[in-house]
Formats: sequence, C-alpha cells, structure tokens
Amino acid sequence: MSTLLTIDDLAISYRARGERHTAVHGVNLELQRGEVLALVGESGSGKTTIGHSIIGLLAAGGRIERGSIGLQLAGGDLDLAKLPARALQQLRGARIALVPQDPGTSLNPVQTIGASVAAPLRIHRWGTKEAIRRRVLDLLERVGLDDPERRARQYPHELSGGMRQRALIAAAVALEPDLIIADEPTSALDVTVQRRILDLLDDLRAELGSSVLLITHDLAVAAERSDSIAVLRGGRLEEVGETRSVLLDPQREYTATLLADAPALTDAAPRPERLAVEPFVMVEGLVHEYGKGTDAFRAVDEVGLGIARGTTHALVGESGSGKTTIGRALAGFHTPAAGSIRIGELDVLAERGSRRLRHAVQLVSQNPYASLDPRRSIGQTVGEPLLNLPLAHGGVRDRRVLAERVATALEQVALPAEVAGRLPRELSGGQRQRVAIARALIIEPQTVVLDEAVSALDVTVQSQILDLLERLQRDLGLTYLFITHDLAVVRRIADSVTVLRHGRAVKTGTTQQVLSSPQHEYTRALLDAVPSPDWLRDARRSRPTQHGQLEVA
Amino acid sequence: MPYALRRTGQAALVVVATFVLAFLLLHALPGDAIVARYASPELGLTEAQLDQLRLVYGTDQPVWVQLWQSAAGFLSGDLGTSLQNGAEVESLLAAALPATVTLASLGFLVAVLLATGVAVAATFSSAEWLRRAFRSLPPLLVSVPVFWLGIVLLQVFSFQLGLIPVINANPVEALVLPVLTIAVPIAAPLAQVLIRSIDDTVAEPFIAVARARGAGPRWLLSKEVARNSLLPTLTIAGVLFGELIAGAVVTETVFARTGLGRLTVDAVATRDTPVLQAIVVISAVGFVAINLAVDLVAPAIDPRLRKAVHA
Repeated sequence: MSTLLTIDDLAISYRARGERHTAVHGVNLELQRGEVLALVGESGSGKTTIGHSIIGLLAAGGRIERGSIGLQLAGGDLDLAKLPARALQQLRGARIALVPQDPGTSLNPVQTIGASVAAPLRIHRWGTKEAIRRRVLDLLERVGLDDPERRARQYPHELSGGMRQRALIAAAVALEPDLIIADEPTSALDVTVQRRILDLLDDLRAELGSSVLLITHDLAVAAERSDSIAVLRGGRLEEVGETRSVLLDPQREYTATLLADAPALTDAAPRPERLAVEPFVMVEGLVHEYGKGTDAFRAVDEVGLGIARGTTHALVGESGSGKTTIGRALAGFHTPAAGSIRIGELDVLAERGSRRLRHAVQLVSQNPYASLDPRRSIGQTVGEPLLNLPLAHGGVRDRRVLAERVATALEQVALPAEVAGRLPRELSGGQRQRVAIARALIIEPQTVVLDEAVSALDVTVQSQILDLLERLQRDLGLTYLFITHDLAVVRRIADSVTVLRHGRAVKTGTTQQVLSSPQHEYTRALLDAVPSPDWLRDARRSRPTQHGQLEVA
Repeated sequence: MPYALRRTGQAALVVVATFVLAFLLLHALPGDAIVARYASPELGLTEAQLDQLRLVYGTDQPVWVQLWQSAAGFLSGDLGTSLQNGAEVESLLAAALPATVTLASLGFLVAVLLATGVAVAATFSSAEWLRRAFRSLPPLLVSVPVFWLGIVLLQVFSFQLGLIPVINANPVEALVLPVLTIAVPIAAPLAQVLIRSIDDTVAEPFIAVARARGAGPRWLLSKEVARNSLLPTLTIAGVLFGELIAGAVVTETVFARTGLGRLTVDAVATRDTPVLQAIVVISAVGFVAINLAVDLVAPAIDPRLRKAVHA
C-alpha cells in the first residue's frame, strides 16, 4: 500500500475585518491509496478548511501559512501548498475531485445535467464532442440514473436531491481522480438516500482505486465508512488513527464526548412508558392537498394521532412525507381539506387565527438563523409575542415587566441575560436555537411543535438542546410534536412515534413498539439506513457505564 | 402557449390604458391649443371666430366623443393633425422617428457594451485595485445628469480638443457625442445591477464546484456566470428603456438634433395635444413591447421559469 496524500504541519489563516485569524494550526494527516480518511469535528473545527485547501478553494482571504500538502502521483510528488495556480488548476477535476455538500445549490441551475457532467471532461480537453457525449451517458448510467439520455437533457430542478448528488458524483469521477474530497456529501439528504449515495461512493472508490477524504460532522457515517479517522477541534488535531481503534478506545476526552453525543451510536435507555388514557392532542382524519382539481397533490392523507399530555410524539419520514404539513396544521398555520385537530378542549381549526390558539400551541422551526430577524436584538425577538398579544390574553406593554419576562425566558433556556442585547449573527447556532425556543415558550404554550429543531446542529450542541427540551417538558409539563428525519434522535426523545410515508401514517405506536420490532418494511428500511456499524454499537453496549461517565453537562 | 398570450393581452391593455389616461390628462389641462395659438392679441380674433376654429378642430365636443374619435383615428392609422401647423401627425412622426430610433438604439447598444465591460472588469480583473476602481465607476456615473454630461462632452471633445466638428459634421460624427450622452446614464445603473448579480452568482456553491473541476476564469465567466447573471440585468434593461425616451428629449435639445425628443419639446411648448397624444402612445408601445420581449425571452434563459410558463 502506498501513501497518496501527506499533510505536514499545515496551518491556514483567514483575514476578517483586517485581522488574520488562524483557522488550522499545524495539522498532520496521511491518506493511503484506495482508502477513506474521515475528517470529523464540529462546525468551526477546520475540517472543511483543510479539505478546501487541498483542492485550492480557500474562501477569499484564506491563506496557507506554512506546511505542505504532498500528493504522491505516478508522475512524481507534488506539494499542493506551493504549486503555481496554473498547475493546481490542471490537477483540479482531473487528479483531485470534489463531491460537494449541498446538491441543491451545487449544480448550475441553467445548465443541463449532461452539460454539468461534461464540464470536467471539456475543461481538461478529454476528447471529441461525440466521445464526451458518450462518456457522459456512461457515467450517468454508472451512478445509477435511469434513462441517461433523458437525464442528460434535464435541468437540476427537475431532479430529486439524491439524483442531483449522483450527477455530481458522476462529474467528480469523470476523469478517474486519485483523490476524491467528499465534503459532507450526504448531510442534505434523507437517511435512506444517504445510505445509497455512500454505497455508490464506496463502489466507485473500489472500482477506480481512488482515495476518499470524507469530511463529515456525523461520527456514525465516519465510523461506518472510513478506514482511518481524524478528529479535529478548533483547527487542531485531537486524535488520528485507524477508525476502529480510535472509536473503540478514544484517547482524548473530546472524542469520547462526540461519541457519547452521537445519537445513532448511543443506545439510550428507552423512556419510561407514560401513556395516559386520554390523549391531550388529538388529530383525526387529517387531509391536506396542494394545488386544485386534477393537479391536486395529497400531501397528507387521512392521518390520525394522539399525544398524551406532557409527552413527546415524534413524526418521522423522508422529505415529502408530509410531516411538516401536519406540524403546521397543528400550529394553526393552514386549514386542512378534511379532519379535526383538538388540543385539550380547544378545536384548533375553529380557532385558527385566534389569540387563544397561540397559548395552546407554538412552533419552533428548523433554521434558527432564518427564523430570527437579523436586525432585531434577541430581547426584542423574544419579547415580541407578548407585545402582539392583547392585554386580555396575557399581552404585556409595560417595559419593565417585558424585560423581566424576557430575562426569565432566556434563563429557562439557559442563556445568560446579557444575550438580550445582542443580534442573531453574534450568536452560535445552538444559542440561536435556544432563542427560538425561548420565543416560543414566553407566552406559556401547552404544546410545542418542533420542526426539525435540532437537525442543523452539531451533535454536541444537539445533545444539549435535547437535554434542555426534556428538562423544560418536565418542569412545565409541555407536550411536544417532534418532527424529524432522524430515527436516532427519536429513540432518545420520543415517547410515541408516527412513521409517515407519502402522506400516510404507516405505523403509530410507542417508541419501543415501533423501533424495537419494526413491523412495517418501510420503518425497517429507515432504521437500517441509520449509519451505525455493529462493531461499534456492540462494543458500546457492553460497556454501558462509559456513556454515563462521559455525559457532559 | 397561454403564458405568451396572457402577457401579450396584458401588454395591449397597458397601451390602451395609457392612451385613455394621456388623453384625459391632456384634456384636463387648463386652456386649449386654440387659445394658445390664436388668442394672442396681435391676431385680433373675436371669441366667435375662436369658436368657429374649435368647431373645425372638433374641440367643442364632449370629452368622451373626442376620445372616441381619437381612438377610432388611431386604430385606422389617422393620428390627427397638428394644431400648431396643421400638418398630419403621421408625417411629423415619420420625419422625427428614424433619427431618434437610430440615436436610441445605438445609445442602448453602447450602454450594454459599456455596462458589460465595466461589470466584467469590476468582478474578474486580477488586480484588486482595478476591481475597486471599476466598481466605483457606476455609482459615480449614475449621479451625472444627462444635460450636464452632454454639455461637458461637447465642451471637451468639440470645442477644446476639436475632435468632432460642431458644424458640418458628417452623419457619423454627429452621432458620436449624442450617443455617448444617452448611453452613459443607462450604462451606469445597468452595470450596477450586472455587478451585483455577478457577485451573487459567483458566491453560489456551483461556482466553487466548477472551480474544483479545474475551470479557469474564462470558463467560469462564459459557461457558468454569464447566463445566470443575465436575467436580473435584462429585466432592468427593459425598465431602463423609459430612460432612453427621456434621455432623447434632453440629448436632442442639447445637441440641436431633430427627432422625437425635439418634437416633444415643441409640442409641449405649444400645447399641441394631438402630437403629444401620438408621442405618448408611441413611447408606451415601444416600452411595453420591449418589456414584453424581456418577459417572453426570460424562460429561454432560465429553464426554471419554463415550468411556471406551462402551468
């Protein structure tokens, strides 16, 4: 076995507001031919920066300060850190290829799929027009796209996320590169699609003998797919080594923390069954359609579910399964075509738009950055619901009372009071999500709809937010409808589950019933798709004490 | 294609609405052309004689009858007669239009070339100081008034440098400065929009992906950026066509050229309503046609719009 990539003492800095900040502090890595090296870490750990420095794509203001990036090719050794721009450009796409993060925005929207896949071939003058056309069709077929002729003529918006990622992979492997940098290649995709895409990458790597640098925040994906693993934190290498030995016997506390926080890798004890006789939230025969007449698309088809007071019910399914539509209907944001929704004594559909409904249910949505007004301070954002409510319905106009209520709400979500004076962009992702939760809780709702509320967060932060939600539920007796695509999170937080597919509930029951003995084939498929290698799970199961020890506050 | 039909219908509606609105506004002006032309004391016409003239020109009828007659005339190609000199409006327009169309279309072409050049230099130059210099150009030029620019150009190129003769210039020479005068105020906002939309496109992840495939600046610009940046610019270009008409008025006055702009100034000065009416309608038709063309071309540029078109 020979080494393909040797990174030696690599340091990278960025210029921001006239100052230079070091993003990567002297990192050493090695990647063997034909193997997969996973770079894992939270956002800001420098994993993407390292990946981008290899392919020469550092963002504006980024600079390699010292160190070398050695690439050992058949024709000789190169140091990518010192290579002139021209020479580097010739390696890109040919010897080093990139599989990008978000297939939704990584394809030129006005170019056909065929043209996108042909781009690297044309840039590197691979062959005649006709030869390239045939090669593109071969590639599209190789990455598993049906009817390549038609796909080549289609535009990105006509394809699903998984199909787009396949097309991007086709373009990446077009020139049979020695090194494929896969930058969070599946984090924007559903679990079942994620598995198929990772399988495809594996197959192609084996077929071409390429090496893969897999950048991911998902330790489970790294565990399942890599030969060796490098754990990064704050631009420094925490730990590096063979994947099994690093994960089975982490030398650094940080690695152990990441492991403990990864929901897919922990067998959290199932929650004690707390099923009240009478459900507090009742959804019956819910139907929702988009469009009209014969074009109507039934997003939710006769779905019913019940949630006991003070418990968490999870809605799981892939994108397009109707989970968000149900959540929004419960929060009173749209009127379904048929069905009924009750929260306690309240008829949600009859109360749509009324102030009373706002006390019954609040919504926390996925992207905490997009759902906070960038120009308002955190205090203004959190206090806003109280200003909007009429006095008779618990509204507040008095400045001092308002400030106190805001401080209490922030305290509830474990944020310091001085955060009230800051702007959203001055907070981290986790802090923003806490703010969004505080805003929902300030008017003391009974029920909270959490729409993918932790999906965009790093595992450690995600784990903290889940802890927070559980504590709030205990203290305030809240009822949650928890919308997620992540079954591992469901196992950790939900009392009961509804599995949705194409707008229909394929399975409803306690978390234990649904996840431990999945009856439905689709539930099993979803469960199988969660990356979680047996060797790691078994090892962790046999040492249950470790999880308890390492849990961080 | 129902979308094209619908848009064409809307465009026709806008023209009709403009016609009616312009007619009513011109009618609502205090006094009329008869008074403006014949009521001066030197002519010494009596009130009865003025009424006689009103009868001849049809201005004594109720407004809706006049509107109807005027509309019927427009539809049959009879744009009426000038109240000022009795000439047919069609022949006045026929004499003025070619010069203005030449000036405007050349001005627009130069504006597009200028804007594209400045925008590309401002975003793709290798040196940062060069990019900055080109970037600050459009905001500066946006604030330059057309008449001032015309006078300055004339002063510098004709009087001081003597490059372009003011008297006895051949047709090409006579066009250079007016075209520049009309082009710059359009090129500046166009370049601003183009720079902005190139910036937005370059920040898109698919550009990084293209660079990762080994694309150089030329490939990026021609294959990835150009078409994506075109659409917002095209929309603005359609709107800026209105500037072109306004620009023609000032430019033709400053450079003493005959054309639609001069005709407009004269017609306003003498309150020649039939001529004004015709000019407003012609301008509206031009404006609406250009914007309709932009809307119909857009789906060809961006495939994502095609779906909406068929729906």
